[in-house]
Amino acid sequence: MLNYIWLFLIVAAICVAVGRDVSEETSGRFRNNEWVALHDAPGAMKVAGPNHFSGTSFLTKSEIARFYSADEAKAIKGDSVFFATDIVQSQADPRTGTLTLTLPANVPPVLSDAAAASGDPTKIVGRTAFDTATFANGGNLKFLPPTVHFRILAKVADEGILKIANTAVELAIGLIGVMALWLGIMKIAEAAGLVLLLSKIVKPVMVRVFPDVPPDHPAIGAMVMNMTANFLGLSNAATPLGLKAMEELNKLNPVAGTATNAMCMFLTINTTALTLVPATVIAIRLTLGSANPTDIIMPTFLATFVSLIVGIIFTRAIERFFPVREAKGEAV
Amino acid sequence: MESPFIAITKILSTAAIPLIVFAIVLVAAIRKVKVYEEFVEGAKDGFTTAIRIIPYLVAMLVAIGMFRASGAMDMLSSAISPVTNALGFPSELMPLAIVRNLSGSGSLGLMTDIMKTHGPDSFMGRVAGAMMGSHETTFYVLAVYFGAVNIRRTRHAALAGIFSDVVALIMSVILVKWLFP
Repeated sequence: MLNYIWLFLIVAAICVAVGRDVSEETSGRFRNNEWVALHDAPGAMKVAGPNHFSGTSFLTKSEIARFYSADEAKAIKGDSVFFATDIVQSQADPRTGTLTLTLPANVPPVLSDAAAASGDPTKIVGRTAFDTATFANGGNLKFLPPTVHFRILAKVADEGILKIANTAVELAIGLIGVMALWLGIMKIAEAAGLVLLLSKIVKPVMVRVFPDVPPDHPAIGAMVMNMTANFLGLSNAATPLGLKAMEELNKLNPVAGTATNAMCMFLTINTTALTLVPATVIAIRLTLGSANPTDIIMPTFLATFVSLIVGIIFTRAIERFFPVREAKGEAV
Repeated sequence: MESPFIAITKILSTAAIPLIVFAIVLVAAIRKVKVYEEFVEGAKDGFTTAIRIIPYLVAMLVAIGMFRASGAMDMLSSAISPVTNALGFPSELMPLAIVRNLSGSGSLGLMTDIMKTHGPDSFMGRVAGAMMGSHETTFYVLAVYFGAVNIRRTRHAALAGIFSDVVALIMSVILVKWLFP
């Protein structure tokens, strides 16, 4: 099942990225290698230093609609979009230079996408050609934005693959400390017989939900501790205790590498996340000025409770349709 | 003003960890367990367990990251929203319904957006809150929990997780309608 989901996520991502990129290329969305005529009002560009000018330039809405497309112009409020503009004059040819546009909030999406593709979502840097003499009287600046090709694929490679791969490792490394702490505490609790005691208390419920697990097995104690931590919203403790429970469940696993019924049931209980107080949601509602931030507790709790019960019944009902099979070529 | 119930649960969740640790160590010491030795013995598995989940986490998060970065996730949610709309599920909530299975930080951002746009006490804001509170990032849990014990063939776990999640979604809408008419 997870194989198919994983495959779907990756294939869908690549297909969508290539599809969007190809459609942008064929429709010429970014008008690559075409000059844009920026306007500057009289006196809007000032000398800011040797070979350096700065000020404001603008494009009108109808020009953007004509040059790019009517859809791109929709984001603009008012008649024109204004950019803080910075020009560094070329030493070799004083009529050319490098122009930096700082994008305002109501910028057409084509420009913000082009800026994001070149690294900084707030700025576009490109070539320019102009006549310094006309700055004082206002006029036109010719601007050549950087070309944009296959930006979605580039984004998938950068944000989706390289950065996330690092994030995954950081998450795992970040777990080491709490893992060690809770595994240590669990070991003490086991040695003191507390885990066994806990398993005995919850025995009547657990034998029904986990019929394959012996009622006095340490897995029961670890699972109950994990559920308690989740219920109290102690997510820091819940994950290590949950992993400990999985290890205990794995000791009862006859086929290494394949999930047992008990593991799947435990996962279902964990993903339904029965929590006493959804603290994050309440905190956000409070900051957004809710009249009674905590009134969300009741629907949340009931929704989770129903999904927990239904989830347990469903998991039990479908387990027979997913029989444990030996993988080909693997030793038992 | 906080209700006493909230105040109590707040204190409980702050004090719970130190109290649990203290109680366990105390009882163990009374029962003549060599607490320090046992702790170190157990804790040394912390490193290997955390490291063992890396391949699973990388595999899962990269697939999800690609799916989001390509815009495929937005397309999926807009593709199925006519269907869910016909069933009475607000289409504005569809992206959140999908993201909450995949990414914790992503869904938090989406929920905040919905609450800002519609107001935290609106129907939309309340359903978004209930959806978020009744969620766990299913695929993250699958990767981490099964990764820790090197389980690759997960059988019905994903299906069961998604199913109970859909139940929680539907219940969120129904319950908010029922409790806040």
